Amino acid sequence: MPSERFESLLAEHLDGALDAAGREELARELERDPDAARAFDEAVRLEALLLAAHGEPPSRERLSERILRKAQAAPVLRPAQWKSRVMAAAAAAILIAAGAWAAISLANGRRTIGPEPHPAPSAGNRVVAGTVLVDGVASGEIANGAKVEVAGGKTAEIRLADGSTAWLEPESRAVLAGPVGDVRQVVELEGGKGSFKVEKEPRQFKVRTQVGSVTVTGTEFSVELLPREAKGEGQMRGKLGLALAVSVIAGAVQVDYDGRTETLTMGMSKTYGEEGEKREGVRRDGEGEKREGVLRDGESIVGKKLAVSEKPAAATFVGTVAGRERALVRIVIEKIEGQTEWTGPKGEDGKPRAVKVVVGEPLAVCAQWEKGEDGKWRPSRNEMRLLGALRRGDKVEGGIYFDEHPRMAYFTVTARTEGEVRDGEKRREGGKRDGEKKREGGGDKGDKAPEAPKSGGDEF
Amino acid sequence: MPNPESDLEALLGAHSREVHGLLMAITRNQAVAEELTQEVFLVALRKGMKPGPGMRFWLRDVARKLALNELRRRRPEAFDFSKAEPPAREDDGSGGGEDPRASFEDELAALRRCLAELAEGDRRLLASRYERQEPLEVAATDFAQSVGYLKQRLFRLRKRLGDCVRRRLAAGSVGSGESEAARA
Repeated sequence: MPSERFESLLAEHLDGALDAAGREELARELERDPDAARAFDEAVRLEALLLAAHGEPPSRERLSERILRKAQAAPVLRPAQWKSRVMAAAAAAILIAAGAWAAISLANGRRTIGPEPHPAPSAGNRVVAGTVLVDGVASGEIANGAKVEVAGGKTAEIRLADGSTAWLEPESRAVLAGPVGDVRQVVELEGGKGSFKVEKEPRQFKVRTQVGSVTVTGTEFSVELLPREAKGEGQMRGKLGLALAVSVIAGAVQVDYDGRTETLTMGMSKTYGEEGEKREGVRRDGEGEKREGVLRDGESIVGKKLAVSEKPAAATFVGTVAGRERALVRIVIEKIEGQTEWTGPKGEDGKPRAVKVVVGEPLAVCAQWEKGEDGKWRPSRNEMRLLGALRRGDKVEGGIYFDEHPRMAYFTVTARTEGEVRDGEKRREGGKRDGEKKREGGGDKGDKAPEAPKSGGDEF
Repeated sequence: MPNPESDLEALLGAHSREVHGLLMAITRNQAVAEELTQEVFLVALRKGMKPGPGMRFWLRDVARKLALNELRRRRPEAFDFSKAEPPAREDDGSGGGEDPRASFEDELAALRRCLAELAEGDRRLLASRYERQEPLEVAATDFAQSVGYLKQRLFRLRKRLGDCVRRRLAAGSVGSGESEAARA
C-alpha cells in the first residue's frame, strides 16, 4: 500500500502544485514502490479521462502533419552527419539572410530523435537553469542550430557557446544558430523574450527576429516579440503581427528595422513595429480598457507603477508579498482604506460572489486570463511577467476597483529589502517552502476526508 | 503494401486523445504534453507500429516513460527508444489490472455518466479545474471556499469518480461492447 507521503505527493501533483524537488521525490517513489506506481498510473489515467471529458481533443490533422514533417525532415542521422547538416544550414544562412529569416529558421530547426537524439557538440550551449525543450525533450546540452522552447513557468538560463548568457522567458522559442560567418553567435528569436549578457569581443553577437535584428559587440540587453496592438476589423496588421521591443541595460546596441539602422544606448528602450514606435513602457491590452506597465529587463520594479487601469481605485492597500503559486501572488494586507467588501453578480449556483479584504490576511492577486487564438484560456503573459518579478518580502501598495470581479487599478512595489533582483532573474531561497511553513488557512469544515493535500508551491 | 501514413492516422484516431491526456496529467504542461504526444507517435511511426491489440498499452507505456523523464527533468537518455519493443499480439495484461476489453472511449463514456450524476457544484468545480484549467484560487473566489477545502473536495471527487468508472465498466453498462481490437 502506498505511503501517506506518496498520497500527499500525488495529490499535490494532480493539483499542479508540486515543485521540482517534489517531482524528483515522486519519481523516486514510483521507482521504489510498485504499489505507488500502480496508484500513480490509475490516478493519471483518470486525469486523462477527466481532461478528455472536459476539453477538446488535440487536432489529429495537426498532430499527423507535425509528426510526418519531423519524420521526413529528419531521418535518423548519426551525430557526425547531423552536425554536418547543421553547419551546412548555417553556412547557407549567410547568403539568404537579407530576406529569408523564415527559411533560416526552418533550415536550422530540423532536428531528430534517434538513438542519440542530443549529441553533445564540441561548441555547444549549456542550460544552467530552467527547462529547455529541444524537439519537445528537455535538454541540458544544446547543439548549435537547435530550435529550443522554454517549458514550465521559469526563465531558462543558457550559457551560449561563445561565453555569453541568454535568459529566455517561459514559452519563448528560439534557434541557437551559433557562429554564422563573421558573427560569433546568432540567436533567432521566434517568439517570447530573451535577455542577453554578451561578453566583450571584437566579433558581433546578433539576435534576429522576424521584425528586425539587434547587433552588439559586448553589452546587456533584452529583446521581446510582442503581438502588435489590435487594429479595427478589416485593417491590415503589420509585418507578421509582431512588434519588437528592445531594452539596453549596458553599453549600446544596433537595431536594424525596416531597412534602417538605429543605435540605442544604455537605459534606452524602444518598441519597433507599433504605430509611432513607442518609447514609453506602457501599452494598451486587447480589451482597450486596461493599461499595463511593461517592465523592461534591468529596470527596477521598485517604484514603478504597474497594471495601470483607467478606472479609479475604490480601495487602496499596503501589504507585503508572502508567496507565489503559478499565476497568483499572495499579499498580506497591512492597511486598507476605502471599500473592503464586494459582492458581485450571482454565479451559476445562484449565490453571489463575494470578496472581503481583511488586514492581516493574504489577498490573492491573479493574472488576468485571456482567450488565445486557439480558444484556450491562459494567464495574461504581461501580467505573468509582472507577478514573476515580485519577490517575497516586497513591500507593495495598490488600488482595487470592482466590476464583475475585483481588479487591480494600479500596483507598485514600494520597497525591496534584499539586493535588487533583475526582472526575469530567478533564484530560490533556502529553507522550507511557504506551503510547508504554513498550511492554507481553514477549509475542512469538519470534513473527514483523507488528509488534505498540501497547499500549493511557493515558487520563490 | 505497408502504408505508414495510414497506420499513423489510424493510431492517432484511436489513441491520440488518451496519450495526450496521460501526458498532460503527468507533465501538467500543455506545450510539453503536445510535444511529447508527437514524440510518442513518432516512435510508433519509426518502429512501423500498426493498429491492433495491445497498441494502447504500448503507446501508454512509451508516453509514461517519456513523461516521467520530463517529470524528473532529466535528459532523455534514460529512455532508450531502441528498447521500446513492439507489443505482444495479444494483450498480456500489462494494463495494470484494468479491464483490457474496455477502450478509452468506453472509459470516457463511463466517466461521462458518472459526471452526470454529480451535484451541480461538483461539476462546476471540475469544469474550473479541467475545462478552463483555472488556478484553484479562482475557484476559491467563485465558491467562497478556501483553497484547502477545494483541494480536499477534488481529492474526494477523483476517488468517487474512479470508483464509479470501475463499477460501470465491471457492470458492462457503458459502451457498445465493441472492443479496441474491433475498432482498430
